[in-house]
Amino acid sequence: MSCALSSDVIECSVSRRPSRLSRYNTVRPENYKEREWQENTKLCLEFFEFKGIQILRRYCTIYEFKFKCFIPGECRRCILINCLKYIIFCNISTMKVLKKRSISDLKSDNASSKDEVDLFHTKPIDSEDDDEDGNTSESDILLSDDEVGEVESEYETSEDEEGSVREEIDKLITLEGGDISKKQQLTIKQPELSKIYTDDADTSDEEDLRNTVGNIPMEWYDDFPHIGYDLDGKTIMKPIRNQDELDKFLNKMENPDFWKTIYDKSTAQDHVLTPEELELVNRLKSGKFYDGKMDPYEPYIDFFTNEKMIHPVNNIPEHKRSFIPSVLEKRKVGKLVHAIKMGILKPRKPKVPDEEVKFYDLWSDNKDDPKTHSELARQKMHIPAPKLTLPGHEHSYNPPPEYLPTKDEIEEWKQEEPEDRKLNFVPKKFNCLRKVPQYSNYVQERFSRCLDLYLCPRQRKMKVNIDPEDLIPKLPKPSDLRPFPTFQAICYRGHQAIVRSISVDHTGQWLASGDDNGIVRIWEVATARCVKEITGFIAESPIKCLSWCPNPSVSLLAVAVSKTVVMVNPSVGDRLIYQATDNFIQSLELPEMNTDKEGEEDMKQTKRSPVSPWTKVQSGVQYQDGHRLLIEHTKEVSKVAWHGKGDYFASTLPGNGNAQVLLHQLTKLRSQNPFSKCKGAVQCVLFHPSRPFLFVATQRYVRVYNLVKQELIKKLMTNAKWISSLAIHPEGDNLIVGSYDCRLSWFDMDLSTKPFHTLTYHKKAVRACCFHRKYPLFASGGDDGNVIVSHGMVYSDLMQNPLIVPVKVLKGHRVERNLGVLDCCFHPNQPWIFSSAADNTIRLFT
Amino acid sequence: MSHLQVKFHTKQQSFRVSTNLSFFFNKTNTPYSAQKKLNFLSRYKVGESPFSVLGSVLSSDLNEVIHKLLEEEERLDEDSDKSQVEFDFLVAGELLRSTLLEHIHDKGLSVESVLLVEYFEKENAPELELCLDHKDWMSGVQLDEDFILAGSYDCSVTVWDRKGDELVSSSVGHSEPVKDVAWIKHSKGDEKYFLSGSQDQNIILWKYEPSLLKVKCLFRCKGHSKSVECLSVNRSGTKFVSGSWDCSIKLWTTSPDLEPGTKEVEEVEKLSSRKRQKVEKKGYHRTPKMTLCGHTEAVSGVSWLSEHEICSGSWDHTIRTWDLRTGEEVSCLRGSKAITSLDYSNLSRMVATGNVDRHIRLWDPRSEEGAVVKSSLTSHQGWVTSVRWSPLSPHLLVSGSLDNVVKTWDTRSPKTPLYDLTSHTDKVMCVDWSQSETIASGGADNKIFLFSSNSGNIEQKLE
Repeated sequence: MSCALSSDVIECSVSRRPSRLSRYNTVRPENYKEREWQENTKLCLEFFEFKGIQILRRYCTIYEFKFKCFIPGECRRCILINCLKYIIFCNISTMKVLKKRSISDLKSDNASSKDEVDLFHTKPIDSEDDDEDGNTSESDILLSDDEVGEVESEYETSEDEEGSVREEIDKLITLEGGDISKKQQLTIKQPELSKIYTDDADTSDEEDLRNTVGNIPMEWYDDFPHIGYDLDGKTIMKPIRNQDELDKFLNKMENPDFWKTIYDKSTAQDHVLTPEELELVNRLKSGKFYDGKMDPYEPYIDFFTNEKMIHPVNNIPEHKRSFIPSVLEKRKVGKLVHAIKMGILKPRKPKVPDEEVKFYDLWSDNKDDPKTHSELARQKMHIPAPKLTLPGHEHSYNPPPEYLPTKDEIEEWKQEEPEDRKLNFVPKKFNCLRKVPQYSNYVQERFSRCLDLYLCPRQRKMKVNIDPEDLIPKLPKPSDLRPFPTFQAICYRGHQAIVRSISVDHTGQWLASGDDNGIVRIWEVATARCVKEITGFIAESPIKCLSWCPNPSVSLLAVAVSKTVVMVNPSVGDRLIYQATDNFIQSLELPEMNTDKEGEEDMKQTKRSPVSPWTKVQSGVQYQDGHRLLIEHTKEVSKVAWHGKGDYFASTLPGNGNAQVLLHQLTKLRSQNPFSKCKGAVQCVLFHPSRPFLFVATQRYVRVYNLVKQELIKKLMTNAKWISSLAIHPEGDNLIVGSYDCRLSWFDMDLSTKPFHTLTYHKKAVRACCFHRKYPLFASGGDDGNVIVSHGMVYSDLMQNPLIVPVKVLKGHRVERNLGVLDCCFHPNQPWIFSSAADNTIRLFT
Repeated sequence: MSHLQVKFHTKQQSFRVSTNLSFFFNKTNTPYSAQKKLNFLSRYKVGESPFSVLGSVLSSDLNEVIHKLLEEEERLDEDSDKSQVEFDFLVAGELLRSTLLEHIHDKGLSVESVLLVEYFEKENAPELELCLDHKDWMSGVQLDEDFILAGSYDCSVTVWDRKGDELVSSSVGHSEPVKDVAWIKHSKGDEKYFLSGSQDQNIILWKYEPSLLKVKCLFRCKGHSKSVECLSVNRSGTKFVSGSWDCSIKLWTTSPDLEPGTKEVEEVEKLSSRKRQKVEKKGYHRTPKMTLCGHTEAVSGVSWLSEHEICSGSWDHTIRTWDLRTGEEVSCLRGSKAITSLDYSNLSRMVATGNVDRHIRLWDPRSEEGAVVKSSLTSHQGWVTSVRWSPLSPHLLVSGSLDNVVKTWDTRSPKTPLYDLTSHTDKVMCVDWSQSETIASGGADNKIFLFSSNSGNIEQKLE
């Protein structure tokens, strides 16, 4: 496999191919490596390229071969092959053996003459030898297997001859530069070789040997008389070939070999193909092997069989040293042990990880202090800065035309305040990017952005995931809360002015109403029949308020007109009762004023309280009309409110200093001012139905007084601007407060001083509100002309909150002069509601 | 379009007819001709084979069918009047007022089966007979064979004859509006007796002598402590009950004679005004035989169920029946709305009540189980102030309402009244149908209207 090229000699070693003969190769030459020798015993002469020349491929047992190049350009095609038995000279271009010589011959010739060994410089000998010899020589070079076997066996036996063979080859090589004259001798002395030559005499190779121009286009020599040079460098003259057409024809006609005669350019001679050549041509034409003896299907002898052999191919026992512990290693280990013992060699330290590079934290106040909880939380709850909007088409240096503002738009843009502008620049068009000027606002914008980022407070909003349906309280359907008034049943017509106040008597048969003309009418509830029209009040002064006495054994109506409160006996209903009422009033004695000490006290009291004494109406038209008692006040009376028992009643005089509320006792015909001091402008007062409490509503607060203990119990913060009306639940624990700012507030007295519930269904001021005596209903009437009826169930269970459901908006009243419903009250027994309004009517909704 | 199989029949029978229906189908080209199978048997009897009709037919279409059928039978030729006769159709116990299909759907009946359609002569529309004017609201009205009795809010009781001439009016007697009046059927000669209840808590038993054109206050029935709202005289005319605002019902006798054992009391009525103070009336007091207490609010209607049983309706939403022999409450039917009026019909054995929620409700006072309200008639737009059964038909009743309308009803058509009588211009306060041929109504427009109702006539004719 090595190749060395000296100036003269090319030495090549050759790759080997596995050979079936290897089983016999138990001995190998020293210069071959053991393995290679085992694998390859049959030499393979690979072709290798040497200056573009294909060499040869022949299977034979070749020991060594050498290229011999004596004269570059002349002998390069020769190869000397040492096959141990023979030495073969080959023409490597044609793979023909030029010379073959057995080594034994060489040995024998050694003694005779060194000169004879020049093989290469033999002149080709003209074919005087017979063909048979040539054929044998041919077969010699194509070594058959048998021959190889012979060769090997010979080699086997003649190992010691190796040295002599080499010497022989060396001798051959040294002889190269030998005298040419000796060639003749060689040829003479080597008839076999000459035979070989003659064998090849008429081949083109032979010609080639004579003509040394090589494989060149022969046209180059057309103009010359010679055709090339022989080995000696002398010109080879062209043979005379002056054949004309006639000669050709004659030749064709006469020469029986004409058909196999071809013209050889290189020699410029005709060549008659030999029968072998013809056969070769025929074979080639028919696509067969060019060599007829070639057997492509020869049996293959498988020497590496799949059968397991008892003996290894190479049965060399293990070397002794592979069983002996190594002394070197022992020493080495001993040294190491000693080093460890002595402490020279220390165990490797555990690898310390590279310390992280520490940077100085510029912003931390104090590194050592642990971060506070809030700081950690702030870090954890970091809110990233809001992102800037991405640039759009208008930011392009070459925006589409629709993004370019017109002149008007630019003007408009300039006139706008910078804060109002949609864009903070005017889009412009540039042909190319390099013409775009520097953006003048760049620094300013970056600066403002930075300001935005660190000055803007950012807050994380906790989003609560609540179904909005859940927030709506579960209220029962209004239809489940029946009965409640639903439609207008009766309209009581007859009043000529707005009806400010209505009141139903305790039986529910009669309805009293008072209008602005100072007329009180008594209606039969069921038929809307006006049974009585009571006049005789102070002319033209509106009736502010009227109220039936809740005492069922008394038929009295308290009417507040101007500065007086008039007790009217309407004389409807039970005759016994109204007659008894008359008698009862007759029997009452007005308190004496100036008789005794008590009277003086009364005087003092009256001095304190600006109430005029009561007066009885004994006769006259007023008596006919039913007036029975008059209570004079110093100021206009706005409201009267009866106590549940029907003995006491309170009148309200707004703006009367400290005597805005006066309490009157019917049975004793006495009046008194319960408060020495009165805060605010009293709007209305109300008695607790069962306990001695008095509710006093000023503009914004409702104060609850205990009349027995004479102290303030509670102050209800109504959250309203101006209270208009009060109503108390018959149980007494719940209060509703209507106000002019459209609210109706429900107070649970036990719960809080703040509204438990606020209804804001009225569009305008709430003028009146009321509770039903028996049904869980309450209602409010407002200036929007509507009466809103709500279900207000109060449970006896203190833990349960009142259920407040607005159930019905009752419409029907017209709004006149911005006044709608002025008063409303429930029927005492039926779920009906009466409402009086500024359209001069009273309506009953059932 | 769905088709329905119907079968007609009627209970009014006076003719016998056999119909060739196929002929009828071939001849006519009406939309239902090909699809309707009718079976008419009636006075205007038609064949029994079923007809197939479109679901969208109205009663007018069916009416046409019957007429065609009868024409084919040449039934109507004999009596030309019959051609004007209109029929009403009763399907599944209810009068057909909408399309047949809707009606069936409402009733929940199958469209597959053959429907039995009963038909009968339609009630003729009541015609206005008389209009009586008065000075004040009319609160109560009742007819006699010859006279019209009405109470008014001007405290008077007035008697008209049937021609509309005012015969006599009692200006004295009551000091407060009269709320109800009632005739007492006595068979004593010429004299007529009647009652009037008033807000002055009294009921006065009057004697009317038609020959003299005089009324005389016989007895002043005192006992109620509040206004008397309703009166009802029993069938024999011997007793009456009164309901009042004082929640009580009182039983009185109607005998015109002084009862043995009762004190004769001379009463001097003093008016409140001294100027007008004078002795007004001599009269006798009568005290109630029995007081029935149980209602918690005003008793607005009483009616006799039998000689010993009455029922009463009240604003406390209840209908109570009372046994007069024991004076005990027998049963109590609870409603949800206040009752303004009540009447019992012997024919249908049902109590009709007018309610404040604009409905008329029908009750069976004797039934204990099931829904107490058998049916409710809905069409009024205001409180039903008064309701009266027809004396002849078990299905007919009349009602007056605050919406100024008097309606006649067939109980088999609860959604639609038979006729609306819209003569009144103000609230209708009272209606009366004690005389079968006449409906009377009085209202807040100070008028009494008399309508002739011919339904009774037809029935009578049939009889």
